[in-house]
Amino acid sequence: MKIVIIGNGPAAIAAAETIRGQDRSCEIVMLSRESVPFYSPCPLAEYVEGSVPKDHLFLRDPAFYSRSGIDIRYGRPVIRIEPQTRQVWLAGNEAVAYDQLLIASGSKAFVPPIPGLATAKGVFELKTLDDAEGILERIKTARRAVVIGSGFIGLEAVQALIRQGLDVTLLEAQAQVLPAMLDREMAAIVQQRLTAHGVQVHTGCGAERILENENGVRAVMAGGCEIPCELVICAAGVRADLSILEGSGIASNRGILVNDHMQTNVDGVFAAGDIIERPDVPEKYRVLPIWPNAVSTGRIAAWNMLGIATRHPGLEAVNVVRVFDTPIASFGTQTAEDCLRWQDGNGAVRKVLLQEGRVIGGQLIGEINGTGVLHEMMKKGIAAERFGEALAHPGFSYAHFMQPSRAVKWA
Amino acid sequence: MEKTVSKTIFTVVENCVACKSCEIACAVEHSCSKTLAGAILETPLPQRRITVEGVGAYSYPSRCQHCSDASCITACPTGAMQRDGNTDAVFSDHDRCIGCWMCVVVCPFGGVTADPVNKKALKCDRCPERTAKGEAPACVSACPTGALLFLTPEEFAAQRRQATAHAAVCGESTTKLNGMDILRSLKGAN
Amino acid sequence: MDATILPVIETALLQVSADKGLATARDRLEVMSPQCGFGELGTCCRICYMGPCRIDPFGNGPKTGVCGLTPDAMVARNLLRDTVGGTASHVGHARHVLLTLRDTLKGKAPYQIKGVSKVMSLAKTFDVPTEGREVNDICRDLVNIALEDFGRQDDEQPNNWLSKRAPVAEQALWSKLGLMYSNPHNEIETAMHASSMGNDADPLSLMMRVLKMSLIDGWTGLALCVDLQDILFGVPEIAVTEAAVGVLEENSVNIAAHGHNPVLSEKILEWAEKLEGEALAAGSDGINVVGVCCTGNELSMRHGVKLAAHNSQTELILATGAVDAMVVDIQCIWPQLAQVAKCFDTAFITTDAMVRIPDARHIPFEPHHADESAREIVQTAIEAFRRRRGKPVDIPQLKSTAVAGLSVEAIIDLLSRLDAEDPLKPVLDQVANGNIFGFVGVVGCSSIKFRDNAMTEEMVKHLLRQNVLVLTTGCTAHICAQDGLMTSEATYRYCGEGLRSVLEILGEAAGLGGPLPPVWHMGACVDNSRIVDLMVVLAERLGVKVGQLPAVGSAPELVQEKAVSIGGSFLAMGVSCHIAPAPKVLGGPMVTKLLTEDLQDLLGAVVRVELQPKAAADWMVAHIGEKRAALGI
Repeated sequence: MKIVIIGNGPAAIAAAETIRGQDRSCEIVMLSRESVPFYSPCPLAEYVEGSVPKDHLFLRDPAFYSRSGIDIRYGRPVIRIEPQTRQVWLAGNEAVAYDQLLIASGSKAFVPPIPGLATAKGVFELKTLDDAEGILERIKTARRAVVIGSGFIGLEAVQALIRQGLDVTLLEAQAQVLPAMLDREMAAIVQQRLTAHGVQVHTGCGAERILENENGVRAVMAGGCEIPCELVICAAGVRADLSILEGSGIASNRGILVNDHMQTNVDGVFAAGDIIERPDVPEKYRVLPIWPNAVSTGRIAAWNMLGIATRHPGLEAVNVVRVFDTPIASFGTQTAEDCLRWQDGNGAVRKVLLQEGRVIGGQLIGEINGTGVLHEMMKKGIAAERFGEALAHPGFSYAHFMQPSRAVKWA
Repeated sequence: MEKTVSKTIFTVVENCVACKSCEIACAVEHSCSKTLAGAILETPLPQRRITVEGVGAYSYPSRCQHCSDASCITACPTGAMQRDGNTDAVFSDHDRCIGCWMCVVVCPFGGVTADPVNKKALKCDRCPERTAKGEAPACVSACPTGALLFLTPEEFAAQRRQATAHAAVCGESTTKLNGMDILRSLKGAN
Repeated sequence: MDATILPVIETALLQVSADKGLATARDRLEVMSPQCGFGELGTCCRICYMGPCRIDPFGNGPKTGVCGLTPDAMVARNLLRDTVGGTASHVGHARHVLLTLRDTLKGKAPYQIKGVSKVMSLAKTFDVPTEGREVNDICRDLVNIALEDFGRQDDEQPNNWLSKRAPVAEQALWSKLGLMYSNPHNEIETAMHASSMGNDADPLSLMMRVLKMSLIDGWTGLALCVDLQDILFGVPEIAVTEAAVGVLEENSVNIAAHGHNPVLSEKILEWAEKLEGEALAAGSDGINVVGVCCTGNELSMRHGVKLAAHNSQTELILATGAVDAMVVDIQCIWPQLAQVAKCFDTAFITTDAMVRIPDARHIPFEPHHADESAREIVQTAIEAFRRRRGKPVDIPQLKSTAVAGLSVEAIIDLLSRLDAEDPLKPVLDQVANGNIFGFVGVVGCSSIKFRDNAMTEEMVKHLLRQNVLVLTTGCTAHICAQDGLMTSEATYRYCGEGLRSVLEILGEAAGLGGPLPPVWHMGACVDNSRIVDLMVVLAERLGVKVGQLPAVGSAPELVQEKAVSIGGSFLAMGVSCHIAPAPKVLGGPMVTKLLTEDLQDLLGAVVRVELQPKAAADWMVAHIGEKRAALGI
């Protein structure tokens, strides 16, 4: 059997390793857009900041592929997929045949249609190692930077640039920072922290135009003002990269539609990682492009490609970001009928959101221990009323669930 | 090397009196000096990986469960969180950990915590240095009431059977009420 | 299970702290929880350096200390040291008042003899001749009798205050049990000595020491102290006051007097009046001295000073930002207060060399220079007001009216309006006919651990419904006052029919225009001797022992070691006690059994632990019922 995997990120690697762990004989071909071995994009901001060395980005050594019997083909972006003939087409009109195909090509940065943003020199995303290298080169001379977008990539970029000694302006088109993770009140706490570290934060203020000179970007027009800068980082969100699906008949919406086996609507074609969408689950669990989901969906896809039917238990709807060492976690939804609140007087605030006696979301700043327990309660729909206010306390743990089974003397 | 999966940590909830000896022993074991007197003088201070939580009238030493399908390993984007090939213990490699806290927010047990000082994920590593020498993990050794046990699943099951059998033959009521039972029943009324 | 009700005042006060981002004792308790089971059981011994030793309550681990000390001896030894802590506190307070009185008589301290009636009654008790003598001379004799108690080295000679003040029948029993004492200081020394490493290891012997130490608390720590305070500052008379944080005034110089010893607070009150002009000149409406903790009780008993906060609210009232000075003397002063005060313009002033707190302002106060120090303290408050003036404050507008000042003398005076010949008779008749089912002395502290279920208030209400008259002191008195239980309305609202009818008659006699409140404010925690004295006169009139009366003691929110020794002194009188939380003895089964059962045979009293208000009240009512049955009423 020949398995082709489009991608070389966490979903692709998790799938390849899972397949190889089960089946020594099948042929595995990985098609990588980039030209470097598997690396983690998550610490790229820390790499730019200087706190993580480059070799720590790579999670497998270069010999990993040959050792694992994986035919890795670097720098080979896929152009289209032809399920009728079970082939994928690469640039240069080259076809690769497959028995089973896994699409794990991930997401790409969303670049808003702002004049100059896509073309100007000195404008970067922070999604790939190439982006990070470009930024590092640029900040050798840049003094001022504008970051567009205050999602978690944007905030990580802000912190990295501040720590590299740049003057940083953060632009957020919406009325608050971290709009996808926090409510207004919590966002205000984060904004205060950013400001305290010298970041110029402009919310409700979108970039309108990139102004250039001979050295590339020289300023960003926003809110009618010119913000001089030598570096722009575009962090306006990520989107599934669906361009390769054209003409393939593979169904997609915001992402490739898959079932809980990571199967697409097309026989023999699976998808995993940032690129997928789960139409069969509640809205908040449909598109969740984070690392844990990439790894877990990659594994599930692999089992099913090998014919071992395995269901995915559901995506993790949780995210965490640090703003100048303050951890901020968020899961589920941001509004609900009931909200439990805890604060310690030193800036830590925890909110747990409840609907009909069940946890449906949470936002935690400063004190995030136990977030996973609350998130698990949300996933499992555990009745939460009996825990009362204790839910929002940092000391709340899974041990509290054990109370009813107290009669069982051993645990 | 021979794989030594045999023993793991079990918790007997009813024996926990919340003295927090396990917490102190854990922090000391994860210090440089490995002595209490030395540990409290270290900078940064060593951190514990076990926390005694109050649950009604009872208490429970909460820590990593070393899950077989560990969500923290799945979630770790730097390869820091791993499973020890010999002992099956899940541990975090501090050199690789960047403190992104993804493990903290996905662990359904709250078994991984954020070390605010060192910015590294903290979790029970089941004391590899001690177990390599054939000793029990620090928390187990420090527990004065047998609430924490370091046994093979077979040994634990045998203990359990014996306790059940003992209760069946002698009846639970013959066991004399101890002070902790009284205290718990008083608090349980709360 | 009783419902969880955080009292309205606590809720409002906690909100004030939360709004300012201040952590409170509740937060600190949460971080501390769960608390160590060895400590709670009393089976942690830190007395010697082979330790610390801990006994496994489940029998799997250590069964004795390294030295071989048994769990029972361990808990008894620890309990003895708790009792010593409590007794030493009260005895220290008592001696301070005694020396102040001595120096006043010598003209070295600027105080006066305000309680002439007390001098006369004590002279009678101690067989001091009064005929044709100056009050000061009589008083000097009393001082010498008291001083003798602290100087005597011949242990065969009984303590004066114990042997002359305590009822004779009880003394016979104490004598038989070896509980009589001579010099309290010697006994405190002996108890510390006996409980140190390698001495008394017999739990029964240690428990007898606990009772002896408690007896010292009762008759020297409390009775002597209160007697002499009444001489110096006057015998309390019925007064109407107000209680809870709402007594703070935004535009006044608010001085919160906190602690226990009226030697300080009386002078503060005096100088607040003298310096009213300076306060007005500073732009205030005047000086508002409010009382906190037992200092508050002392001032309200003698002057009707308003009660601002009980002990567990002390840090919370500072968060209002409206307290210009909190001046403290001894006992129950949380170090945290200095930290909260720092966040505001509040001057947090310590005065006693024994109570030094980092970040506090220390203005030494000793009786010889009381006026100078008191003036400085009040002026410091006025200065603080100048800084605060115009800044926003956050005072929850909550307060209740409260009747205070029910000393034994005030009660008998009231009763004599009904029957001048035999003032106690009306009460005893009502006890006999069941309109007064019995008495409960609700004493002791306010505890963060029990504020969540309004332990004291709810327990008291359950008692009132069952026609039990409640006598209270200390911080539980604050709690009752704040909850409106010291008002006529409370009589209508909470009392059973019988109790209500009695209180209506008494209220009429007192000219209150309504019934007497059902909860009688009898003073500070040191004033527990007033409750005992009241029981003694009732028992003597009836010709029974105090232990036979339908009376129980309760410390529903025990915090301080003092409450442990006070409880012990009640037990020694044969009065059973309810306490919460559990005493730290449960790790010793024999000691536990002694306190909860076997003490009945020895003293006719037992200890009962109930952590829920209704259960506690139910037990006390049942216990009173048994006493009534034994009396045949």
